[in-house]
Amino acid sequence: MTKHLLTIKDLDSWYGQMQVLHEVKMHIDKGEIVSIIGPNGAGKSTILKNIFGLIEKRKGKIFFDGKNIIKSKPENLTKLGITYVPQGRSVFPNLTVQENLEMGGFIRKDDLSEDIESVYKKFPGLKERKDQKAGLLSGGEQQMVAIGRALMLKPKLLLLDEPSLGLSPQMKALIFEKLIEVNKDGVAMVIVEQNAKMSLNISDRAYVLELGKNKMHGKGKDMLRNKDVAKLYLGGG
Amino acid sequence: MGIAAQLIINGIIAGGIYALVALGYTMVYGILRFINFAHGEVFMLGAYLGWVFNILLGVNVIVAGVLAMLGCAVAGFVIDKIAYKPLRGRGMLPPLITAIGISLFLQALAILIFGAQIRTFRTGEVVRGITIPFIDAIITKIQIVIIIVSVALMVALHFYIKYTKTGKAMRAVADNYEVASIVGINPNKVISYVFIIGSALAAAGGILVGMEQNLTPTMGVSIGIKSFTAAVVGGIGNIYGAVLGGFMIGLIENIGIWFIPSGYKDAIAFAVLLFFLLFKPTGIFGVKKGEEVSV
Amino acid sequence: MKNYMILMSILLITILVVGCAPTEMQPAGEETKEPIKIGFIGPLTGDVAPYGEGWRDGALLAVEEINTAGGINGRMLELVPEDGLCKPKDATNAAQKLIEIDKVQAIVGGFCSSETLAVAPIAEEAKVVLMSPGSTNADITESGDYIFRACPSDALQGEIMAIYMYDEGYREVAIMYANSDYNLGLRNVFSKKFTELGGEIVVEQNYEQDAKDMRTQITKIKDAAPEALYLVPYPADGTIILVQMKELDVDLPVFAPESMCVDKVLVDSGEAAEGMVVSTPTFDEAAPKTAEFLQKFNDRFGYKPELTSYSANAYDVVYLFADAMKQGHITGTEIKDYLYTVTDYTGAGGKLTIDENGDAIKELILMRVENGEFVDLE
Repeated sequence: MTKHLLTIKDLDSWYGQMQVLHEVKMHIDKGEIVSIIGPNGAGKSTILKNIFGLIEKRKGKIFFDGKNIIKSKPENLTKLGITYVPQGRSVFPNLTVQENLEMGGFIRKDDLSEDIESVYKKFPGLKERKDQKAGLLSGGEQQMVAIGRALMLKPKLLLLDEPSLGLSPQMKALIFEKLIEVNKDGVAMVIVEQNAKMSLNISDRAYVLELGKNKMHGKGKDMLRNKDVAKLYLGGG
Repeated sequence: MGIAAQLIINGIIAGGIYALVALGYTMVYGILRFINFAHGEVFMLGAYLGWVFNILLGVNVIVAGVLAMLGCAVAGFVIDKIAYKPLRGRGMLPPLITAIGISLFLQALAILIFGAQIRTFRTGEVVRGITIPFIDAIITKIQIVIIIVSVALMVALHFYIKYTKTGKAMRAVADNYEVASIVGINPNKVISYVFIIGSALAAAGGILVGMEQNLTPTMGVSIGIKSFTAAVVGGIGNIYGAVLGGFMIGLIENIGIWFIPSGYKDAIAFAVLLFFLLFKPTGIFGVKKGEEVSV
Repeated sequence: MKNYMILMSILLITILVVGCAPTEMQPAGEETKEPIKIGFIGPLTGDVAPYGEGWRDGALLAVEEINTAGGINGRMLELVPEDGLCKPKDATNAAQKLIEIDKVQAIVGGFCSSETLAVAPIAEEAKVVLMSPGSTNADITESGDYIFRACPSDALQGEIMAIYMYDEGYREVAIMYANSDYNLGLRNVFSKKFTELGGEIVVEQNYEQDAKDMRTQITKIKDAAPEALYLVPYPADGTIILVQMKELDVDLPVFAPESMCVDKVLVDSGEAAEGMVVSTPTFDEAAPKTAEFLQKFNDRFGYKPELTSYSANAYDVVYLFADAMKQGHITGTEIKDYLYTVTDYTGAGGKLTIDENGDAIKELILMRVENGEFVDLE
């Protein structure tokens, strides 16, 4: 088996007494964009939380860069090179844009200014707002701050949970554009999305999850053209 | 004119102390949504530690003050670690009850070690205060020290919170506990810092008050209630609110009893609290958590 | 589960049986080895505690001496001290505990007038003797047949100071007092007498018992420009007021009752106390029984109690109770009847006669602070 960046094998996961993931498996290689799509409640977000060490009760194997990270805590995973953009507005609303980015690089001991500049370069609208409180920005801008913050640790793998949720169609398009740009820098991504169409459009591969189990798997473009997938999961637009 | 100025000076002196102690309440609440009922006793502990170093051990009063602040910083850290941290995530009631328990325990400890009698910390002759030119109010040296020290500490805190990495991390954790951990901040470490700083500030207040008035094991109770009121009035969770609330309560108390019988002084703080709880419960700088900005 | 229920039921029944069992009253005169309990109520914690402790120790000294000398006809005396905190509510709780659980027939207490006034109705109803070594509020005189004291009523102290101040030429004075029965009582007596004589109270200020910052009240008094101040505090707040007056440059002659006749006040307020005039019951430390008491107290406890006369009074009260009991008067009613017969009893606190109201008759004098010491006034 070729060495993948991230490998998940036989993952079971529980919320309390309820089992939400059953023997899930997937992998992602360096620099890939992989989508996880499926109906509501399928457990998509749970997979991301499992990767990032936010779930207590689970069983199985998760390997990152050759290391078994099933027991690792989030602060250690950030050190290994995984960062996470959770669902919803996840900026620190009372901190400025600049301070949010600085918090992204919290565990780093070196000078952050170069990397902050490159975030501003990637998301131009943010620089002029850099001393404004992040909570005052529009939804799309806040999301860009959240993504930019996640980039501060120069991650190898970026986990995104519904990055376009609640945004206008233009904003959604913009976000996915930016994600392609980020990917060009060599950052692998796992994107969980309700808006499967836009996500599949930029993905190398995708997994379909239903009721906590793997349902389908294939190349991004193929999934887009697949009639069943279109009928079941792409209706929401 | 002279009277009004004197009352305002009295109010500022009292307010400075309330503000120092209120900061501890507000910072802890801002991050943990928890009211540290034992905070008033840290204030008392600071006063007694200062007394021990200065009067019992003969250490220079400024050094004694700094040592007392350090001692209380440690105490605050320890109390959090052994009493509050184990109960994190278990809801609101257990930590609240524990805090009350610690408060009573510390009072009893003080009575046990120091006795119930009143101690004084007077560092010199009792002299007439200095008249402030133009406004005809009298202020003593100690009171000037109180104002300077409390303001200096508040300014220092402001710079700390605004410009240092740990200060920003504190704001981040107060803003969004979960996301802070995602970003790699260790919330427990940040919380420890909050207790350390809050306790040191309360200790400073205690020493200043001890030197200006006297020391009793129960001196933390009244200050605790009024400072907590100040924190709520200013908007609990907001450190600028705590400072504003502290000075407000100090001023309203002292100016208020010009017009109503002096025996009601303590009731004034409660009246202000009631007013705010009825009409603006989030306080002056009230921060509503979870306000989402939509696209 | 079934075993648990059975165990709980047995436990419950046991508790009910024991709890409801009638407590035995010792019939008078019966020979048993059980100790006789007398209660004590006074401030053992709080701002007034330092004085309360000295007072409790005075009572304790008497109890220990009596027991060493053989007790009450072979039965040992036991002092049950309860903390009244110088507050009515706590004193009430203390009294209820002493009467209902310890079944005392006599209580040495309260110290503060607020304690005594609160406890009086309870003691009266339960026919338990309450004798205070130090509560001076005038209202105590009428508070019941079972209520006594070893110190004179304020009716005297307040009046003496009013007369003295008027005689010294003061016509417009200020009063400052703590919000408690002792202080209020004195304020009432003083105010009535002073205005009766033709003087005027131009300003009055009060404050909560435990307050530490009286600057605004002092400022208000300064603003009204009185000629002198009648100050009715407890020692701790009195000290603070003297100090804050000096700091605020309020230079008024200060007159105060015996609550300020305390050495610690002079030590803590330094020069600010200079010139203050206080009234106090005569207490001659050189008198034989008094000197003896002070010596024994120091030997036993290693310090000299502040507000010494009260400590000596507490000692005397216990001895009075003991004397009653030694003659076979063990119930509250019998002790009460005995006390009304006390005339010219020479105790550690001086000569004591109890009048028909249960009050003590003692002489009052005035003293002034000169060079940091209390000195007799002419």
